[in-house]
Amino acid sequence: MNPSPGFADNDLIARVLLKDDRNAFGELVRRHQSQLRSSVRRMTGGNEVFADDIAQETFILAWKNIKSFRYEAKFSTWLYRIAFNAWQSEVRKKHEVLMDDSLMPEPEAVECDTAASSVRRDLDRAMEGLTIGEHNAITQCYYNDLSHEEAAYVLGIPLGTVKTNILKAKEKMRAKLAAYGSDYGQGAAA
Amino acid sequence: MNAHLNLHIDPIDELLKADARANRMQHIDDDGFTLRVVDRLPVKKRISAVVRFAIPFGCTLLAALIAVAFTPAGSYMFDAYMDLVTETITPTLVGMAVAVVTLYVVSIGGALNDE
Repeated sequence: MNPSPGFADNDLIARVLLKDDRNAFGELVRRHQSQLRSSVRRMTGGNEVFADDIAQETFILAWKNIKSFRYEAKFSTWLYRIAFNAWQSEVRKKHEVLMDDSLMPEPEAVECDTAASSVRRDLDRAMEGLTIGEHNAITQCYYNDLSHEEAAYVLGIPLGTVKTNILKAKEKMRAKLAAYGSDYGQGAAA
Repeated sequence: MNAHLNLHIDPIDELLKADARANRMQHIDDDGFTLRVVDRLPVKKRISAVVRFAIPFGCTLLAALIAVAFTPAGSYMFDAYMDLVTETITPTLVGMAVAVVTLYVVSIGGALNDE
């Protein structure tokens, strides 16, 4: 019997733990796939195929290791952590440099006619030149809507490093936008 | 615009929040993703009921035999075995039979309880 979509995440996790219920796990995947794939796409600079491979690998790792889920974090936060580790591991396999001071790859150009497209453009411009560490901190705290503590858990780095990366990233973005003459670069918080 | 209000607004923060909100609104269609994941899930290896029964039962039986063999009660087992061979029903044989059956029942009960 398929579990009802009304079940809470924790109920579904309990079914997976007790009965290896694949349908319950499928429901968890269905619930979290959009958020997770979107997050991983940001990590991969918009490479959708690579991102989906990592997202798939993330869910399979979650299935294999669900016994280690301790309910200390939200299930989605736990998934982000697995996804981040899987992404790092894949990047290492591809022999790409993943140093903290390396720069993010250029995001793939995406045609977008929504009202947010100009915001998007400004933001892409501002995010050019961020280090991977800074980019990851911004992704977790803003796009995944995590607290600094949760971001530190996901990224496996100290809380202070997350805060520093956020501050540095914002400073760089501010300077970048000011250089382009954008209003966003002006009037920073005192 | 009032400059005092501007002091408390971080434009970069606002820009990021706005983009993140817009990003969250864009739902990525499942488009078979969940099915592909579920199809690739490995089957978890579970220990069969027979093995789960055999391991505790075997260990218990072995431990009991070793314990009894090295105590004066060892002769009790030997007597029971001889009675069985000679087809003589004695209290010793009955006692031994009861002990073995009890051991079986407890082990099977334990294995079924785990199911």
